[in-house]
Amino acid sequence: MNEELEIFLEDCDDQLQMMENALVAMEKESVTEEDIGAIFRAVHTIKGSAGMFGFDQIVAFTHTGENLFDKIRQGEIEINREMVSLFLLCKDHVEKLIEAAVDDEPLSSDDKANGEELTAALNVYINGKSVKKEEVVALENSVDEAALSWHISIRFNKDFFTTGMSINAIFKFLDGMGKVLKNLAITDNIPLLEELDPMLPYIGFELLFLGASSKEEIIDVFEFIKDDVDLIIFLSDEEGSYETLCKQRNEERLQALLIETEFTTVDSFTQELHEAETTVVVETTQEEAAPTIKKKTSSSLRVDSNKIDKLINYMSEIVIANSKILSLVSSEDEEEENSELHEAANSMKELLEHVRDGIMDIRMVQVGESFNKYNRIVNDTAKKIGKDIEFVISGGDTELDKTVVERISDPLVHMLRNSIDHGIELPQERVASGKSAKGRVDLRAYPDSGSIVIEIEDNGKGLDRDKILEKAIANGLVNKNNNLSDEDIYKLIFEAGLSTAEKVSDISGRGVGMDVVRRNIEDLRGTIEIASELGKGSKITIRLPLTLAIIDGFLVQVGETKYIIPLENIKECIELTPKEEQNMGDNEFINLRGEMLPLLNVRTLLNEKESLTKRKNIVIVYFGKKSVGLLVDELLGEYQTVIKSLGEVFDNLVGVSGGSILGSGEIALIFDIPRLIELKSRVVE
Amino acid sequence: MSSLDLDLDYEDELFVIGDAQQYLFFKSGGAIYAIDVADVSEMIEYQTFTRVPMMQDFIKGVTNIRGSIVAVVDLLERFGLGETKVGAKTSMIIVRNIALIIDEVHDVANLLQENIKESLEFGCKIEQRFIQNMAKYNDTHIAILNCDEILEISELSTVKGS
Amino acid sequence: MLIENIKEITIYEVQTLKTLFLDAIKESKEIILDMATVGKIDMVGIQLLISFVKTAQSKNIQLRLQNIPESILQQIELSRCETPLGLT
Repeated sequence: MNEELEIFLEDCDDQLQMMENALVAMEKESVTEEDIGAIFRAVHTIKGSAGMFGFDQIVAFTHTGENLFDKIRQGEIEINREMVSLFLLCKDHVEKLIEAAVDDEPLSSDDKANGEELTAALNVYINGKSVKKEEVVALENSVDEAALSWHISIRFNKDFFTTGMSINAIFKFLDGMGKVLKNLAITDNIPLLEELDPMLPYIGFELLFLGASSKEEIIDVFEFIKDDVDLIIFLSDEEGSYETLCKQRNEERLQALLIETEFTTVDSFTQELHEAETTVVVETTQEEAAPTIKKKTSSSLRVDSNKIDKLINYMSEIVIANSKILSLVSSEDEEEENSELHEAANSMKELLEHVRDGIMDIRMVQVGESFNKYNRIVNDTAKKIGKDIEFVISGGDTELDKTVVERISDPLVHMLRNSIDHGIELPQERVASGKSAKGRVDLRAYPDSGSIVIEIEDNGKGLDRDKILEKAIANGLVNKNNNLSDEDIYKLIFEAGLSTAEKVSDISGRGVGMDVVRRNIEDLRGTIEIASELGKGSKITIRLPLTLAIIDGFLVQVGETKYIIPLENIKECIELTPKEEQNMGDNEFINLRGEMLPLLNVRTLLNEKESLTKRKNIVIVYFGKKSVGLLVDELLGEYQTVIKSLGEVFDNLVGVSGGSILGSGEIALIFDIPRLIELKSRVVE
Repeated sequence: MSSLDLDLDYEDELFVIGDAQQYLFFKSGGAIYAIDVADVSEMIEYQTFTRVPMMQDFIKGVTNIRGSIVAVVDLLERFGLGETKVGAKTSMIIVRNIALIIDEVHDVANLLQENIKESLEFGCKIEQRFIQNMAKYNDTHIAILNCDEILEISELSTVKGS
Repeated sequence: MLIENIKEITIYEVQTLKTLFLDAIKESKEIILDMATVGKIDMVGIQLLISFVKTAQSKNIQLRLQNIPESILQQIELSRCETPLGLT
């Protein structure tokens, strides 16, 4: 897919989402003018961009929708619930149309029929009120009183043809938006065949456009080719504007042509015909033209996320290289000059960290936008199975790495559906058990000590401890004679092959769910926990790292290999004194301030070679409520590292989540503490 | 970490008649093997690597190739013929993003289609499945390796004891 | 000289067509471009045609475009290129 089409898709997604949010809000609460305005704008934008690509079916369909909403906006028609439902269906249909158009495939006959039905339904509302169809048409074609006369001068950049965008589609679109009174093709620059590179655009256009549009709206029409087009737009009656245009374009015959075709008159030029005043003006052309086009985009910039990833990678390498400089500087003897060097290196480090944080920040997005998508899913799911649910989102402004946001979406949807399907009871059941008929599902996000917590809480019937246990025993997941705590039992729902729903519904699947959810979360270096109380509800807590690219780690040496322990897992580091080692004997735990601390000998577990040093250290790590001491050889200090994948050869390796290239070029392995602890307990068993 | 200089015999190439394909010839455990050059992205001198625990013995670890992490496999051990003895000529060839440890790089040359034969059922030191074809090369018969088998991910990624 | 049987005058064909037109100009003083079979045209093609017309004019070669299908004419008119193509 080409870039323009991708942007188009993304844009439509955004617009459709905005529309859906507004519609769902209308369905739930009262109708606000803002929502109506938002929907109108969304429909209008989609229509506009589809027009750019010549997707006529989308234009035709959205046009009807736009008409209706325009009337609603003007107060001619009052919106009601049925209309909102109709519009939700229309939104789905637009999605289908877009999909078909982008894939360049014809619409299925079902969808086609559906579209016709929807259009008919929309027309019923449009025509049902005082305004008759003919009048609508008349309104459209007549040009508004407030119409302005714009001059649009178009030249193309050298790559324009290769974008595959049609300038004719833009002319057509402009003609729909207002009226193109004049269009002059500037062909003077087209060379003779011998010198012609047919792939370069030599042609240009001068347009006189009459319409009630603002300059921004006109620029918007060119949104999809804005990088490949050189626009100059001004009000045609502005004094001296044509003179400026001719100066900016600096084309020999332009002035004469414009006069000849009556765009303007000789009088509007103070200077002689095609005066050879060139150099200074040429310089400013680009600069003056550029801001008019880019004005609207200055507040936000669309950047390929790969570019940011690359930057992050480089940045992190710089941070690492700099930390090497720092260590070299501080290892020098303390002399006067060195302290200055030291200071310089330190301030460099600080600056680099600012830059790095700034780059990382680009990747951060608010979770709210993605959360709002779930509104519809929750509503639809609840409706489908006859449940009444209040869905409350909080902490939408919490920021999280874009990749993380994208990758938790599916798991979250799954869990939400689970809550609605299995958690919340039917209204009559709820009333019978003394609860309000309406159930409640909460989706919360908030930052908590360097990570992000997402919670899904419902006030449904809670998990049935005995049923889970029964099932787990039947499936051979646990022994009949176990003394698992409630917490341990609830955790079993994250194991493969355990679904407690007696009836399989099409909503939350067949027990292929929660284990996949857990896996997804863990792949993001996150954790998932569940708490529940029978009859009162359940709460799932997901803890996620802010970003995936970098971790703060602690570098240790075990045998010949260097390992990095994520700082977020470290409680403290202590030295294992020979005395304590003696006390330990063969036990695999030590006595830490009166508490037993299980010990994990990394060297034996990972089969590392004997260490070179005699001293031994313990890094106490924790995960959830479990603490374990890792017995390592040497502590090498804090290290900020870029996580790199080890490659698919190591996909099945447990306990190591990736690698990191140190300043020396050496590779250190990064411990996956939760899995390592798990591994340890399995080995013990 | 300098790349090895290899003189490609362009003259040879010019006078090739019929179907010919380029192969990299190298030694492992004293024997010569060939591998399709299309599979080889780089040849480098042997360099140190970081051991990765719990993997099978022939997975030696990971090494840093210009900023990316690449798995290191001892080819001889992969064949089940013991560890490669590291010497002055020991090299690594990067095949499908995996660094294979070999004795030494020998040559890059064309093999005529007519000199390539089906592999024999027996008579070769290494397992049949690792051999794609046999070929006549400088009056001897050598094995053209089957990278799909040798670098089969499901096999390489198996963790010890599981 | 008659040039005919052109299916499309678009970005995909302009290089070939350019060569074709250049050859025609070298060979003949009277060229007829029959466009009856043209099913598609785009701005790249229109630009090429304009260049062709200009070149012919500069070399005093008679060039006539004939049998232009309605749909193609519409595309040309939409971008107001009928004048530079000598169609008015």
